[in-house]
Amino acid sequence: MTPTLLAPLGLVGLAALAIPLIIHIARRNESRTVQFAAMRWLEARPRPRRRVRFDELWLLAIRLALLILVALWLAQPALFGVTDDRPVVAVTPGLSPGAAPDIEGARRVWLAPDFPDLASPAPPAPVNPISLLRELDARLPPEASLTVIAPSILDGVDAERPVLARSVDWRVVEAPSPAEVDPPEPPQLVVRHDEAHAGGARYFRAVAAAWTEAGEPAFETAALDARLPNTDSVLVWLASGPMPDRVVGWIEGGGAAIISDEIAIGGRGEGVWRDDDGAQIAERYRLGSGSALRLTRALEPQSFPQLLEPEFPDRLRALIAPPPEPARVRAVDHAPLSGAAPYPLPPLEMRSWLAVLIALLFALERWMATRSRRAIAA
Amino acid sequence: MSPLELPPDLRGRLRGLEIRPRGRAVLAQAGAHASRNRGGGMEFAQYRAYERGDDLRRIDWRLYARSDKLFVRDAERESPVAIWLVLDASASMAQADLRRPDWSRFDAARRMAAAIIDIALRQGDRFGVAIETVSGPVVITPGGGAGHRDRAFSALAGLAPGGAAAWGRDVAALGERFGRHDLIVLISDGMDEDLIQGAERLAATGREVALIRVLTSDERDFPFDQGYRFVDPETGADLLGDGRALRDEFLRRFTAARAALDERLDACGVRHIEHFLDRREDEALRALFSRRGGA
Repeated sequence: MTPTLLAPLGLVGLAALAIPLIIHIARRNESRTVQFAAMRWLEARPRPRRRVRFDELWLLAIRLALLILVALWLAQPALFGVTDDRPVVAVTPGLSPGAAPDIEGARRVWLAPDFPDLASPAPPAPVNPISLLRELDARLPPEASLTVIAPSILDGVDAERPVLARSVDWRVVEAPSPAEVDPPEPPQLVVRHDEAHAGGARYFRAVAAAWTEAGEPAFETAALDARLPNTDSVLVWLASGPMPDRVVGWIEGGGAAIISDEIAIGGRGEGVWRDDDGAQIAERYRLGSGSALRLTRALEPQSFPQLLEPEFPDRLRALIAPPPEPARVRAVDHAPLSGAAPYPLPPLEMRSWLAVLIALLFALERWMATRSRRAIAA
Repeated sequence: MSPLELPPDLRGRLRGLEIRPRGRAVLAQAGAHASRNRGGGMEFAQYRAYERGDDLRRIDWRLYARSDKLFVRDAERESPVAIWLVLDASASMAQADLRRPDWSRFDAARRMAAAIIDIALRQGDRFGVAIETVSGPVVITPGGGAGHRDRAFSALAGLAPGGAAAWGRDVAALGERFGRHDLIVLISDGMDEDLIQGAERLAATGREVALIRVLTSDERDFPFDQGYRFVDPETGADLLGDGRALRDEFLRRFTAARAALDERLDACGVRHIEHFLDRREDEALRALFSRRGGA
């Protein structure tokens, strides 16, 4: 257990100790005048060495202690090495608390933000249980063993098996499988083109057809002045010159658009797609809360051979409306590995305890300073 | 409470107290200092039955004509002895105790005077008052009776101590007003050398002098326990000092000075007593006047 100060500069506050000291001396210095007829017998001895004396020593002591505590509070005292070595049992919300095994002296928590005690009502299922698991691992001292009760199917995981600082007792409990999640529908492609670019629309019709597994592809094409779709759809703007304000407003309102190479657009685009030679194929512009993907080449196979490649629809979809990553795994296959470097544990902050102490001392100080019978009237 | 109003308990304790002049005065009055000498005087006191040997001229014939009995007009005879109260009203008399800042030496002196006047009234003695102020003495010539007491009280009530009294200048003038057998009671703090010398001179002329030294309990105990600026109220001289450091030496020196003064007063035959502000007035009076013949 090592006490330390996280913000030692707070100790500068100790300079304030001078204030009560001065208050309590100052009264002493202004000696009171008293009429004294028997002065003749008072010996005018050379002034004795000026001894600093303080009034109301107890009150002074309490005020000094109060200021010291406040300065300490500012300096954020903490204790390193105060750890809870008890084993921990974490239950994934959604499972019954009874699934937790009886481990002697174990701390039983929900695997949920802030790790509430298992006795509290079950929190909603975590969005990212593995992230919480990493956090829990990082919070525990190396000595504490960790047992995790996971449902047979884990949702919201990332692609890699977690690597923790300790080997985890990974227990999988049969649980009803979560509902099947349908893969998201591909977005509708809405093409708006002028006369010169009418030929480009067919490539996007092909893209929409490639995105659609069965049935009619979600595709629509019209002239430039046609109505703009909802922002759920992807707008393909094939024209030249600057975009009209309504299109810019549509994108800034959260829409995603694909624009052709002859569109003039301000700002710097972010290169997101290069061909094998490193030449730019597409760049992304952020406009408001939406984005525009500008294809830098004319929509002709001579200058844009990628148009004809089979992966073109998938590349385009990944750029414009990426499908979600797979996030569901069988818990048995996702048992955490051990071997990560342990995190340094955060020190135990003492501020809240100090605050209580400060409040108590302050109350005491006020009581002493305002009670009616003070040794010296203020 | 006004210093001139005697609290009932003090009045009660004063009842048993008498102010007696010393032997010399008693001898002069042929056996008793009975202030109430009945006899032929100006002031009517009472009728009493005629006894053999009474002066026929004092029989009230008109009363005899009415009642067929012989009565004698008895008259108050003025006591030949007066009690003079000489109060010091210099600035030092304004000093009060730390613990009781509203009760000054002068208040105690006035209460003492009121107590003596109370006794004098009861004994039928005449009393006079002289208050030594910075601008000279205020004198109420001796007289008797409640009316005279009220005159004396109104003079005492209207005064506040201040300045430095010139005892050396005024004692001689006062001395001429004191009768040969009068009892002179000086009420002061006794710290003025001229006052002591004046008392000595008065005593040397054969007058009976008593000195009540009114001291504060601060002068007895020196309870100052921190830094003070001590200011002499009459000279304005000041001394800064820590009470605790000054205490022992002051008490030693002041006690010695009091003892020396006691001896000096004893030597010249002045009766004297110390009265402290936190003590009862009758204690000092009892100690001063119960000593028969005085010290």
